[in-house]
Amino acid sequence: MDSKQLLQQYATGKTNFQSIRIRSADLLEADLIGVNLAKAELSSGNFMMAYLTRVDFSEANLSNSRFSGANLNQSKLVSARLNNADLHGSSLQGADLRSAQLTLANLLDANLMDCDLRNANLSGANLSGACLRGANLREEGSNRSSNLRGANLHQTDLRGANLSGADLARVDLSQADLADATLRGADLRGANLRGSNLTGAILSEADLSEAILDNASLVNARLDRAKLIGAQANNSDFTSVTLADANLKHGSFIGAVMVDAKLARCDASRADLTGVNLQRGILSEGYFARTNLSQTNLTEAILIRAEISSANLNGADLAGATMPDGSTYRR
Amino acid sequence: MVPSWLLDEVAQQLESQAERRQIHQLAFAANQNRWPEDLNLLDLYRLRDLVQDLTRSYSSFEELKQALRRALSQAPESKAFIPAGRTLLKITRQAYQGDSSAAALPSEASLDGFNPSEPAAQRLSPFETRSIDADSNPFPPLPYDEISATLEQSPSATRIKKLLYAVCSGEWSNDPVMLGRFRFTNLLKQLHKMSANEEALHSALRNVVVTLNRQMEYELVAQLIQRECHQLYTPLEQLSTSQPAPDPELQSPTQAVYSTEDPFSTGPERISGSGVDPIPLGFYDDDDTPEPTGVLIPMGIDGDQGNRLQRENLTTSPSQQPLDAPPASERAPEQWDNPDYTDSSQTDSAQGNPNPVEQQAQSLDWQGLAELRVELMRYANPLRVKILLFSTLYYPFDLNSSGDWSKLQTETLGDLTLRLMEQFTSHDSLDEQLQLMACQLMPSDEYGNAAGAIARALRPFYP
Repeated sequence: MDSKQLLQQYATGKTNFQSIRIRSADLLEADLIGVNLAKAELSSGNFMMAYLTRVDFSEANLSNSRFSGANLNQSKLVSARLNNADLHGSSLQGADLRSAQLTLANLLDANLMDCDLRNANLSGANLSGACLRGANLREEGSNRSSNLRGANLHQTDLRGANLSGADLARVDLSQADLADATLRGADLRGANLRGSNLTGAILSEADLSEAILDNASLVNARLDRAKLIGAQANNSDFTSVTLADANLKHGSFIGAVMVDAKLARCDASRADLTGVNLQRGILSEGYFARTNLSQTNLTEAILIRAEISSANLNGADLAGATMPDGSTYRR
Repeated sequence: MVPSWLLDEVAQQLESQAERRQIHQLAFAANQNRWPEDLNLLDLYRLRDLVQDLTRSYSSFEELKQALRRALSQAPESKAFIPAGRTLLKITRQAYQGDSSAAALPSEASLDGFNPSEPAAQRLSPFETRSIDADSNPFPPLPYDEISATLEQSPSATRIKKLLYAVCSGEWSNDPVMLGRFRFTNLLKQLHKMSANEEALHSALRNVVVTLNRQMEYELVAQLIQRECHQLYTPLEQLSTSQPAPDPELQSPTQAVYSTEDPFSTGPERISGSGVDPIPLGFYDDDDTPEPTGVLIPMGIDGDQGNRLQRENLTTSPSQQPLDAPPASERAPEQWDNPDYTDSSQTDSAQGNPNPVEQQAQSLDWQGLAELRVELMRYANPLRVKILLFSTLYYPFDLNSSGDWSKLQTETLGDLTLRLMEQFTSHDSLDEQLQLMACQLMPSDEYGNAAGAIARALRPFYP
């Protein structure tokens, strides 16, 4: 079968084309709404600007195909092979992409809102400017979570997305919108989150070691038991953040805002918190061995049983703070 | 034998046309003496090869014209291919440089309504367009507003607007709502950008007027527009007085002689004989109610040679471009081809006084930008939105140009949206430009939808 025959048969009402083989199909701007192309061999095809809503591409081979500007809303792409596919500016809203292979795919400015991407492999994919609002990328069962290793998620909209357990190590998430996203247990080691929006995000038990979070917003985010070893979060906003039991060792938080932050039992040894505003912060039982707390604002902070004996407190303002021994600091 | 580079050039220009699919089909039909039953078949034939075959099969321009006429007479819907035929002839004419019939000779007079001696510059390159862009020259601001005010106060203001719109968009409209979306000033800017000199302006207006059923009235309207626009051209012409004069034969508009047999004729006569169905080509004015059936091709209007000369003059003239100015190729994309573009060195913002919209665009954080993107993606195709934004900011996007695709990949939808906000200080002018550009892109209804989505999404950011 060739592209022409496919279109002709579709025009006569046939919709089941399961397992067909058309190599380098030319289906530019084609209207194939609702067809069944499951297990089809359609690699290197041209589907640019095509209308493919509700098409079943499950287990189809679509590697190296061009889907730029195609409308794939609510399509079924479970276990589809989309390696190196060009999906620039395509629309995949509500598509089922579970276990899809999207290695090195170009998803620049794609609409992936409400997509199911559980267990999808997006390693090396370009998701710059893409919108994944409400998408599901969480770990599923005993299988591996979505793989986004090496992906480009610069300015990607992941607001409210579920990325629990996702592999985001060394991913570029700069200026990404992750507000209210769930990143519980996600691997964000070495990730670039510079200027990202993590307001209200859930990062409990996430690994952010060596991640870059400069100028990011983490207001009301939950980072309890998270690892931020060697992370760099200068001038970030951690207002009302929960960092209880978090590991901040060797991290750099210069100039950050941590007003009303909860840092109980955190390990901030050897971290640099110069000039941080920790007003009303809860640092009880925190471990601040050789932590640089110079020029910090610790007014009305609670430091009960915190280890600050070796911390650098030069120029710190402790007015009204509850000290480790339970006393209130007086100037 | 046509040199390879020239064939490349011709093919590239043809590929950049909005009606390239029709051109492709017509070139195929003229070569094969049959129309393709399956459009997929066309993809097996490169347009360049088809043009090469045409130039080999038809050794003179006149023969080529006859071949296209024959092909059109067999076309399933011949009228739909008339604009493509005009464009194909106009551009392919370059390949017949040595052929006297390709110059403005008697045979061409029968081609009134289109002029093969006009340049294939529906899309000037960004640099060429920049050289004639009124906003970019070093002269004082051009009096668009004053001219607009004069035209708006004219008793024929409605007709003036219809004519301006038709020249700029390539479509005739009697719809007052549609026309109401466009400001005189922006239409004038667009017209000025499209017309490199007064002859070109004359041709642009006249090409529309001759398709109308009220030619007398619109001839007067065209004269009025031309009279008022005279001041827009004075500085450029003064500058080029020392340069060789363009070939008058190529520059001057052809006399109107209508042929009853020429399917390309846009005169009042209808085609008869030779198996061709009567093809209505004229535009109709409001009072006559029939829907317009012709589609005009908006062009950068100028004679080939004159255009080339003028481009050389303008790009090399020290008084046009300061010696220390960066070459066009090194300028930022936003300086290329935007009628509303204002050189940053001349904007208020450069003097520390940014306009409110620009300020808002600058202060729009990722959160606001993300909301904007969601709004755009929900109601329009993201790629079409990008292509429309790109085309409005720079120049009409060419789907067949790998260079344009590369440029599109370098900017996200968010980047382009912010850039648009920075460049358009009023929502009305932004809306107009989007609508105008949407009309030039195919399929225009899809891009019209994208234009509406963009305008709606950006509305809250304008006062």
